[in-house]
Amino acid sequence: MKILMKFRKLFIGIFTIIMCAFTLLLMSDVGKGYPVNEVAEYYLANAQAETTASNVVTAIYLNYRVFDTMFEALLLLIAVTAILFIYPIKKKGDLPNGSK
Amino acid sequence: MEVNKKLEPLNDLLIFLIPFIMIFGICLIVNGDKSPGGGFQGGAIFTGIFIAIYLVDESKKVDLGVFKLVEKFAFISLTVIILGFLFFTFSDLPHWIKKVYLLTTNTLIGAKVCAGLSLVFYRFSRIEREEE
Repeated sequence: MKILMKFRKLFIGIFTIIMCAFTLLLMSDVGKGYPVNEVAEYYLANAQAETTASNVVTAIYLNYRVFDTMFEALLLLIAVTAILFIYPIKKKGDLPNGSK
Repeated sequence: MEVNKKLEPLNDLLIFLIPFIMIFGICLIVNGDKSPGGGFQGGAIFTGIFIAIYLVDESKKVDLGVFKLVEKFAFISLTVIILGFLFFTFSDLPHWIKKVYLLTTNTLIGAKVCAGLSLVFYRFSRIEREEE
């Protein structure tokens, strides 16, 4: 563990380089005429006619993938609830451990 | 506070900026179906208003209960609207209903994101103040 702490920056640097290389590797296929997912083609062709939204991103997140949006909203609600739960407002007379 | 005194000229400017932030946020939410933007982005920009209000006047009392209420109400209405549309085939509906649906859901998402992020911001700022 001490060695790890000693060369911490070196490890972080190597890890960053590996992750960058991995990302570049993934990105190298983009735009090379790689066969596009047929769902993506369907969205681009039919989004405006089916949903009246000229912005295809909106058409996807409010129509085709609306449940993802719903659960994303739920995720934010849960995150905010957790923050409010972990850090309650201290009032006068509260015990130090947060209970009343 | 010391920090606030350093920021005083900036704070005066912020008061003038608030309406512009508001217009920008509304513009993003309303035009969410035509141009890049939408509920999430507009809501995050609306949070900027509350952050600016906090920076302008730190002692201003903000009722966090309203934010909580807005967030819960927006989430429940969003769920009800989305589940309600499950009963219809969306592409067969008339044109104007689709437009209203897009605008309503975008606005609700915007309200929800704005309330949630403002709650997080105010809660953390209050913790900072308590620890000083």
